[in-house]
Parts: sequence; structure tokens; C-alpha cells
Amino acid sequence: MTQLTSTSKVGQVILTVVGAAVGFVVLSALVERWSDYQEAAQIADEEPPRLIEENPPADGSFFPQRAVPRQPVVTGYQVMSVDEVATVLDDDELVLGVEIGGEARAYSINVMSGPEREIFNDTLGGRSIAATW
Amino acid sequence: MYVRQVNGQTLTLAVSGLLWRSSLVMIDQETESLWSHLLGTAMQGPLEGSKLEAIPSTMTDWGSWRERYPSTTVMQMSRTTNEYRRGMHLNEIMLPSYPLPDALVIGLVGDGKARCWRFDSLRIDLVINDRFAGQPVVAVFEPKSGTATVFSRIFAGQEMSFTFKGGKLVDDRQQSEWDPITGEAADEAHEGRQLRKLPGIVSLKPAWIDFHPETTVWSKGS
Repeated sequence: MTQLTSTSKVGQVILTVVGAAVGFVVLSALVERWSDYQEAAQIADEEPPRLIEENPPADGSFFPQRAVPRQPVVTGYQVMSVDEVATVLDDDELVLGVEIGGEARAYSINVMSGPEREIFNDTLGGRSIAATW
Repeated sequence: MYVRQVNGQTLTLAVSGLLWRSSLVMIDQETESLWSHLLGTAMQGPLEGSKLEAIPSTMTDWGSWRERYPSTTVMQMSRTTNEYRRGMHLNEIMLPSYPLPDALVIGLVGDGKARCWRFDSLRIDLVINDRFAGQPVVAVFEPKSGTATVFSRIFAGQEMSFTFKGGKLVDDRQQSEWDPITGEAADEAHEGRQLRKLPGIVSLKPAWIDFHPETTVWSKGS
């Protein structure tokens, strides 16, 4: 009985150790695959599509080349009223103004700057618009 | 300025980080299609060939905009080091990125055609009664703010021509006055009425020509 219990305990220890080792191997393989995937995704994202020739095709067809990484979407920002903006915007600064269905909004050109702030996803007068210039 | 909706689907647009002909390529989050910023056309991806509807916007100075739209809201975001001011449109300050006197144009596209009016020409004439794709249009320059705008010359089914007097557009039909930035009637006869603003795009001339090689450029006597 004692013998049996002892054997069983040893067995349990061995099983636990083996289990942990297998678990570790599987986990590290997964982590490795994940980081490989991440790396691949990053490379894919950084590589320009259709980059076959080194020079743009002579016919002027679509031939984009990567200049900077893809930028996060710009949306969900706050808006200010004329009074609130008085201290931060001078009268001679350029704005891009739009009016839809009686609602007007201005985008200060001096806050719109590439590459991270070039397209603003907005809603105005019930329409979804992209402010960009 | 675009409506970011195609075939009923609302798109969320971002900077793809790619450039084509030295100009921004946009990407939509929903389909990952790539869009030319200047053409508003999907060049690659599931939506290839689709076009975003361009809507009229106005590049003007803040003072002129808030005076005309007192209830306007303003997008809130911190300043950059940019210093774009009306002096650039008035040729008093050189554009930092493009120090040529004839750098800016306002252009229209449609019907497979393109036409642009140079700020240099507009600064002299203020009003250019013209035609584009068979339609009567007028390119206007408000000289205090340096604001260029293009309107249709069809009002209430009739073609009109304009002159610039006392800071206003004046039509040749009833000598009514119109605001040169908003196109709103400035006299009682047409109160509440408005000229139809067209989606003119202010752009650097070389970029405009690069993207619209078919463009014609207005010049006196042409």
C-alpha cells in the first residue's frame, strides 16, 4: 500500500514535470509563431503593394510607394465654438470651411499636418464626411 | 472634402503612408482599398474604380469664415508648427513648401474634364465668367481674405454673368448683390437664396496638372 502510494506520487511528479515541459514547449512555439506573424504582418504593411519595378511605370498607372508607416484613423475629436476658439486661432489663419444642411464647421489648416493629421473622419449635417486638403 | 460613403457603406479613411505622384494615398479601414487623395478614386482593392463624392468647401481665413457663419464649430486639436495665413493667398507671403508666385490654382473636375484658374489671374480679375464642361461657371476671388471660390452661373434656371463691385458679386440680370465667399444673396430681393457653390479644389499648380493632365488652364482671351 505504502509502496503503491509512493509509486503513484512519483508518477504524479513525473507527469507534472512532463506536462509543464510540454506546455512550455507548446507555449513558446505559439509565442514564436505569434511574433513571426507580427513581424510578417509588419513587413507586409511596410512593403508597398505592386512594387515590381523600381521606377514608376511610364503609362502613369497606379504605383504607390511607401513614405511613412500607415497612420491611425483620426476621428472622434471635440469641436469648439467661435468664442472658445478666440484665443487659439487668429483671424488671418487659413481654415477649410464646410457647410452642410445649415451646419458649418471649420478645420484649421495649421492643425492639419501630415502624415498623422491629414484626413479627418467627421459627421456634419447628417452626412459622413472626410475633411482633407 | 469628400462624402465618405460609397454604395451605402460608410468608410473610415486613414493615411496609408503610401505616396503616388508625390501625393497622399488614403486607405479605408472597412475594405482596405487604396484611394487617391486628389482624384477621390479607389485605385486598388475591393472598391477599385469607386469614386467619393466631392463636396464644396472653402479655403478662407478664420475671420471671414466666423463672420459669415457665427454658429460655426471648429475642429479642436493642438496646433502644429504650420503657419498658413491669408498672406499666402494674397501673394504677400511665399508658400514655405513652394516658393513660386504662380503656385496656387483653384480647379474643377467632372465629365472627364478638368479646368483650373490661377490665383495670379484671379487676383487681377477678381471675377472670371467662364464655362466648364458645357456649364456656365464663375471663378471668384475675394481680395481681402484671398478666398477663391467657383460657383455655377445658373440661378433659378437662368444664366447670369457677374462683376465685382463694392466687395460683392453683382449679377447682370437684376444687379443683385451676392457674397463672394458663400454665394448668399446680399440684398433683400433674393434674401435667403444662394448661388450654387461647386467643389473647387485649391491646389498647387504642378500637382493639379500632374493629376489632371487633361486640364485646361484659364488665361485671358482664351
